[in-house]
Amino acid sequence: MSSNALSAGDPLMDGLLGDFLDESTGLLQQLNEGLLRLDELIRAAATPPDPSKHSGLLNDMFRAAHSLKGLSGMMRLDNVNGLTHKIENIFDAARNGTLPITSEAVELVFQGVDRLEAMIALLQEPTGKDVEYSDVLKRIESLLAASGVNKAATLSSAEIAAMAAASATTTHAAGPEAHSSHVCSTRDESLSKITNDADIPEKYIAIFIDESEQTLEEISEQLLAGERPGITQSLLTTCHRLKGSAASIGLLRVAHVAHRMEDLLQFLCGQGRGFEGPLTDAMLNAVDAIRSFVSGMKTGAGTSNDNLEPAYQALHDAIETAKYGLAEGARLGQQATPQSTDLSAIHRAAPDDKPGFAGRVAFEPKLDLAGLKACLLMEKLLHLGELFHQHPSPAELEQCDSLDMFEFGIVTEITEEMLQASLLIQGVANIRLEALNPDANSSPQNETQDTNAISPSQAKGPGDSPAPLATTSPVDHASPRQSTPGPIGEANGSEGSRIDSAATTAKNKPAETLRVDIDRLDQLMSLAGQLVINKARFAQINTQLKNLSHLKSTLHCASTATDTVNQLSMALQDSFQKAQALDTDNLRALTMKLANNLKHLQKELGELTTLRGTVNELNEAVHQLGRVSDGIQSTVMDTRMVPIGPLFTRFKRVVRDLSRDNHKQIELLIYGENTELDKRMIDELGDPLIHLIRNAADHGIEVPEQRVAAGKPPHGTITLNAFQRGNRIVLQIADDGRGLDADRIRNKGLAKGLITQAEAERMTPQQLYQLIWKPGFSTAERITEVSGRGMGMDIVLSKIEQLNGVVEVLSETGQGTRFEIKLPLTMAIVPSLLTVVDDEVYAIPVESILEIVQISNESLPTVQGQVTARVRNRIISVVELGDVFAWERPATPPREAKSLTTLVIVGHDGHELAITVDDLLGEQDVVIKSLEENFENVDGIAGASILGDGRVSLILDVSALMTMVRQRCSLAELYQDQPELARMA
Amino acid sequence: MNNPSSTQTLLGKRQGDPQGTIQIVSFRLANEEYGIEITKVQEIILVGEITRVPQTAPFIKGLINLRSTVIPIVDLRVRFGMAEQLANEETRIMVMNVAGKTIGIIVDAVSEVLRISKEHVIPPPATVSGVGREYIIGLAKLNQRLLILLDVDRLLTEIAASKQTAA
Repeated sequence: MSSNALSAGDPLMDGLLGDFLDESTGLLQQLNEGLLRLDELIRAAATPPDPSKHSGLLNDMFRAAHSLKGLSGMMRLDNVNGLTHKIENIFDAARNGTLPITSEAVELVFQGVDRLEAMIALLQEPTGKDVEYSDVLKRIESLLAASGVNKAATLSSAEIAAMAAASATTTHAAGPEAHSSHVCSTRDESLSKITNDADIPEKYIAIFIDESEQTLEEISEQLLAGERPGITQSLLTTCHRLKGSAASIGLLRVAHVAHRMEDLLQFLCGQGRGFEGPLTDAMLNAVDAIRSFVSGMKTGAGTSNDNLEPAYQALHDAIETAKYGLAEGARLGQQATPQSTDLSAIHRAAPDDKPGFAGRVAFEPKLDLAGLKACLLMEKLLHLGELFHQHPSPAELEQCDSLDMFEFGIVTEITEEMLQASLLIQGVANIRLEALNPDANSSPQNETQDTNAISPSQAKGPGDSPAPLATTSPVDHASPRQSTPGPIGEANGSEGSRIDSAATTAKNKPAETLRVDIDRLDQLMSLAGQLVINKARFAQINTQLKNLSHLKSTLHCASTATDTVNQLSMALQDSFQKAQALDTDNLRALTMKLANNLKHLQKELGELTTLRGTVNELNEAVHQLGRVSDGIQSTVMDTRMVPIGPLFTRFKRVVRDLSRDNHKQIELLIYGENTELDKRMIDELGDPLIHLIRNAADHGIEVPEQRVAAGKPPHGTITLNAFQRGNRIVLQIADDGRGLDADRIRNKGLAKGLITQAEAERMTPQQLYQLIWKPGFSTAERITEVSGRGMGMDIVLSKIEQLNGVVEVLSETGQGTRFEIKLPLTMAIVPSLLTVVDDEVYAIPVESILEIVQISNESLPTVQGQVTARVRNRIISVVELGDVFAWERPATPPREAKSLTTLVIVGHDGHELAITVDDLLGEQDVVIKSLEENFENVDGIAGASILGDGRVSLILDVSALMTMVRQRCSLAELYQDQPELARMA
Repeated sequence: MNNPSSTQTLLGKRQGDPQGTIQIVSFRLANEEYGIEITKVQEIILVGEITRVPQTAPFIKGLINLRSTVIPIVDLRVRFGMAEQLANEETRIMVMNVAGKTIGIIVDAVSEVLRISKEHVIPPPATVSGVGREYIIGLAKLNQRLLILLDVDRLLTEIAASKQTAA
């Protein structure tokens, strides 16, 4: 089979690829889920399920395959398209009852879906290897053949995409799988019976709008560029694409119009003919009609009152005209000295907000002195209002002998009827008027009237003959600005429009979305992080400035001093007068000077106090900054949040396959699908979760016989749960299987040299369970395809730790095992407790802190050289960071002998550890900076962060720290409480 | 000044290497003079507060905050087995860009930017020994002075392996 036509360097396709990947992943998921349900149905009953009972499900799956087919056709992914087409055939046959729904069929489709997944994965990361799928194709074909539904298999993929438009034309001989449920036959030349699907998901609409705007632009450009070799062919492709994308989301009316366009082009191709005026016009009209339909969808105005009908008819007429070469349109087009153009050009040229009309007057064919008549009419119009558009120009009019029509644009207050009446003169075959700026028009009845030749007002007019009325030029059927279908379409179209409007009135404007490169979001996140740092800095400066408030007391002090000096000077004066000392003047001068200085000081201090007001303002500004930066941070975080549901449902398939392969009965229960996580985390979680689930299915859940023997129901249950707890997201993966086998882990640990005999004897089961995280540890006696290769759990651990998360294992023999993964809400910002140890600030993630205690030194006894603390009847090892870390550092001055020691008790995996700290600075959100970025990872350090004062502080990695402590003192010496085994879910 | 030949010379001076000259930032460590190619040097900053990092080699002084980026600081004196010295007003941190990482090195003083012809660079004599030996590209003779040209790439990429050294 041909490989993808998706070529690099096609910017349109590149842009769409992302959307396609998103969409197709969702659709494949839908297919997978549907298949799983079918699978269950088959297994529940001995006979194949009755299609009529599950028509909803089958239709859904057909629909998913159909959409995927349409999308892939639009992306020109032939391989995906071809395979989905086959899968679609199966569902179609199944829902018709021609194909029994057997487990073989389901399995086959499963395989097909797998191949599709591989193909789509290949688009993301091209490896240069095509996915081989012909075997699946063949098997589907033979399956269909066996059921007598095989004929459709011979269509090429390009045609398959066309089938999405469900066009029953001669070129696309309908296969037996004709999508009759979606489309009516197009032999009926009217569009009126065709309705758009009622419930098109908004995201598809958004894609369609995007895509079709581009496509329409392309088509008009090609059309306007004029005749050149290969144009028909390339137009054909473009129209085909438009048709495919419209049909794939159920916009069948658009699809039909596009199909008509294709017909026209195909006709031209077949005839080897080039473009002619009317044909181009008809095409352009159709493009305009679709465009206005699309923009209607975009603004949420609804899709009910489209004017696709006239465009559709015009196309049809144009084809007919071209085919038989007898209708007026063709000749009109050829004769017209000035090329007829669309009235929309006049609308565009119209001055804003003024009432008026765009009009086109058609003369009877071969009318003598048509040019003169036109001149006269123009003259008449000039008296009625202000002409802003004339085509042909007056000069041209005088010179041309054969004229079939002219166009004008007029700004006028008069009504349509009056205008029409004044234009109706001998020889005029048809008048078309369109109101300009309908909103500005004074008389509402004029707004959207398409006054065709059949309108009653004209019928009464003089010189009117029925014959020319019928010879309406094809272009007249389409009026791009029209908001209601023209009179011709109205009778037939009313039903269709009603249904449409019923379906669309409830619909609002589709949510506008924007695809953003996640790297940009990362950047934004990092900037938000810096803002958080700066905020902290401002807060700190603010606190320092607040000390200015002490100025008040200083001021008071100064003023008291002034008073005292004044008193002193008075007293001195008194005593001097009595004592009559010689040096009085000098002393008095000095005191005066002192008093003046003090006054001055007081004044300046008074000025300084006004600064306090400014400080208060700063205080407010800093608070405001804090609110804004918090807002930015949380919004950026929210932007990155996606629900975990899709990730979870992915595992349904995994569990199904595993249970089949292992002959076990396993049910996967999923809770908390709507819990949201950072997109990056979701991406990273797939691997570790799949490891855990495989382990649970492979080793955890017993075979039915064993389960029954153990008094448990024969079918095992794996539960996936996600929820938010405080600042953390908790994921639980639980099974009700046999639980971890402590003895086997102990033996394995001994055999692998992970623990010593002495340790092995003293370790509690919970401690033993931790051994499963060791690299190279695997208890599986039987190596299966999916698990038990001696790797897995350590990968899980390192992945989770990379995400700044922790994972805990709880297990009870015979009851099951539960893994609990706790992740921070975001990877970048960690709420931490800032502590001071040996003059350095360390941040301890709040999520690992159990409690903070102050304890007197007497309650810190030493047990076998290890300082321990007794806190609420728990015995906890106490460590000094300086002792845990191996480093050369300047000798720290001996700690002041304090009677109380502050301990931060941290917990991980059921272990507890107390860290002595010198001081607590408080809690703060710190932005984690990877040490690896410019340096390397350091054991026991999760990263660095920048404090408010610009200093760098280290963030402790509690779990690594505990491992280091454990290595330092042996495992057995680590005292800990008995972890409570929570009941298994 | 639109004379093409003068533009050529200017460009040549700026880019440094048309006739085999290289631009060197020279600095002092104890009483030795060293040089590092200017293209490797991002900036030269004053020594501020350095946060010590445990579990690393002694010559890793710690981490600093360089405009919201955390970068490690290497004490070249310690790296080359010289006696440690407290920072004084001449002490500087030279910030380097090596293999996509930004790393700072503490030097006793930054002297000047020099242009030297490649002809004046000679391979290090076999008699030079010590820790720094393998990081020396060559010696540059400048009138009365002798400049030791450092292979920063090697020096700093090997710092990544410092954990092993420390252990």
